[in-house]
Amino acid sequence: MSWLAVENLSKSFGENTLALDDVSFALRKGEFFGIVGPTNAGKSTLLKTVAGLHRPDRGRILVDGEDVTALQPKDRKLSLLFQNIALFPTLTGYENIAFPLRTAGVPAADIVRRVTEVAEMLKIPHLLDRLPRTFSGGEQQRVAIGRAIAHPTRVLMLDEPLTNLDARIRIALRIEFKALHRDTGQTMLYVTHDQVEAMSMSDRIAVLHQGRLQQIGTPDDVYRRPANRFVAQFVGTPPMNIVSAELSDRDGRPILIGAGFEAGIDGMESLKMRSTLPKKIAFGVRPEAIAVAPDRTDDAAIAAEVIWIERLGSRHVLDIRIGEAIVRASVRPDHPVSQEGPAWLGFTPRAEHLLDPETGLFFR
Amino acid sequence: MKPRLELRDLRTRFDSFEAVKGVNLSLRRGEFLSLLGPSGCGKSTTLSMIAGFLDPDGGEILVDGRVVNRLPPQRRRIGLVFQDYAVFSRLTVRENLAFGLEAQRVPRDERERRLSAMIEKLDLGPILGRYGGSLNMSEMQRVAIARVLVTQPELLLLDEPMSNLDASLRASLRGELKQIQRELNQTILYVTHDQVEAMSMSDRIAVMRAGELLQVGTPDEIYHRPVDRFVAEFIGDPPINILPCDVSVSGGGVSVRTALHGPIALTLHDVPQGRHWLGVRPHHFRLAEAGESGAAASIVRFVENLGAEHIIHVDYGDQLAAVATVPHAAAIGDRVAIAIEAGSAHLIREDTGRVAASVPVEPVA
Repeated sequence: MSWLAVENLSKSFGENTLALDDVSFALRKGEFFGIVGPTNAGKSTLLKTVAGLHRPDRGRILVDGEDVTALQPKDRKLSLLFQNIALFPTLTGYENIAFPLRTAGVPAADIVRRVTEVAEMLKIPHLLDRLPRTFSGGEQQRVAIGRAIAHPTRVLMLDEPLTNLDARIRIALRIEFKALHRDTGQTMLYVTHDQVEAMSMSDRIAVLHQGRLQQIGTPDDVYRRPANRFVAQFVGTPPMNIVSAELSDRDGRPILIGAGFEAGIDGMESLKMRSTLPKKIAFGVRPEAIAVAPDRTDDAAIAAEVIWIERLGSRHVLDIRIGEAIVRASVRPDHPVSQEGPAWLGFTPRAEHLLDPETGLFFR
Repeated sequence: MKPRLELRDLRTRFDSFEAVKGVNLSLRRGEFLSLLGPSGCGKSTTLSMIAGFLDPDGGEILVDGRVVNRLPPQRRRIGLVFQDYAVFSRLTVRENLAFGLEAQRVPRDERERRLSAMIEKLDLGPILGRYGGSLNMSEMQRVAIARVLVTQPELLLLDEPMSNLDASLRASLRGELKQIQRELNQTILYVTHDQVEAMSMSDRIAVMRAGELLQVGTPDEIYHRPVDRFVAEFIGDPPINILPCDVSVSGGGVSVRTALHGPIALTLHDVPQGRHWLGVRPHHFRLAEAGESGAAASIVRFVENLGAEHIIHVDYGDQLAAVATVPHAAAIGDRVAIAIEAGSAHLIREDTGRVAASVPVEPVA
């Protein structure tokens, strides 16, 4: 049974802004569930609605089978760590972290032990005796995280908890969130705009865009089998190339014919909808799945022109013109094609990367 | 040919604060050079002096070999594109383009000739009648640049034009800006704090910190041969690992040892013994076979999933080191062996922060 279920949730602010549009998903107990999307996707609205700070226009929220949609925030027994943290200004670091433990009636000795434990984990023992106004931004954030994780809760909801922290602390805290999750089985609902963070932390992720859920799946699933054009280009850097082509047959084998190129397709037999595919089609191919060569080979037989190379240090990203299309390929910096000019390309799109150019949906 | 722009010992101070401490730099014609550094490093101050909005306390600014220090901004033949592009929203695209020319009192015939040429070059015909407020960011970028280019500047300055935009939008605008620059062969000085922007667009990058230029070079030079710790850490994503190490002299040879790796023989002799740092980029570590010569055992603490590759974070002494791997090479808790790729670590002096050498990594038998 699902532990937290969100059913058909919609929420609008005013007449023209539909912040959440029929959003449904369910978390298993103990799951680390990420919600990812660009700015204004509706991520924070979703968390606040689940927490009870917004009343939904439609839909239900169930925790452990109980409908909590009409309950006050405090009665939902969920925790939410905001992006803009607010510590109690008159309480020390220690008392801030101890607060949820005291409210829950945890015995005094256990409170001391738990606060000390959390403070060491977050590397903030030096803040326990001080007041929040003496903390830096990063220190405030760590104390707030300490307060959020001090006491187990039915679902711990975190809204971009690691933005504005420097890279090294961010990695350290990601490790701590994962360890907390592993050691305590705490169910986590984690919101971020950073697709790498979501992919790295989560058992499953839900991609949100313009208030609508685009896809739910494991990180690998979302990367390898995106549901639509938005997901394909939001997850992964540089984004997946999407190119128009015509689907045809040659000698009984399916091929893609584009302006200035032809390509085979891998795994076509696995595609259920094969007979119903339209002739005008588009396909996706990841930048790392494109072979580039200085001379024509069996794997790179499409005449192309490298028009620009981004030299990013650990990899080079090539803008390559084939016919009327421009695709981007990602190669190692020691790749033999290191200058703009003629080159040869090869790619064999996978059947699950064929999409409808009109709707942007991948065929499954 | 004289450089399009040359800065000679340019300096300025605000009260006792030395904002720019003697900068020397020259841009070739048609070059795209980025001035890269963290906020407060003096890059925007340098730009203000070049544009003529701020008088330097010392040094010279030359455009095409001519000192322009005493010229007012509008006579320097330098165009400035502002942050966020700032196109007039209540003027049409055509009115936006004509604005600078009218202000300069360019005669009508000449004005029309330049406008037509620019409209064609940047393909602005289809949006000429639209209001600034209705443009998308790609159109706005083109209009903002075209508006400055019609005044025919020798040099175009851009000051963090994309700093407030989403990452995906920035990526596409970068491509378009670079395309415009190449097609017009326009000399550009681009100020940014974003190393990816600088790396992806520039012919050369000048890295600035605390009022000084630390290094000027192509993106490849800056990445592969940083001159000091700051440059090494500022460039590269994920960032370089800075690992404490010990340098020792024994039997006529110099060797270096980190918490996990070494002794590694060094060919140089002018590094003092003792604690220094070894800088190793995540892509210059690799997973090795257990027991392989030069490989060291560690434990994976975290895995960053970038889709096309995974960055694993492993224990390294009392810190973590990031190692780039293919997807699913290792999971949290796994024991792994890691090795350093030959010739790709940087020995950084503890006292000066300067890179003493790139280290040939061969284990000492």
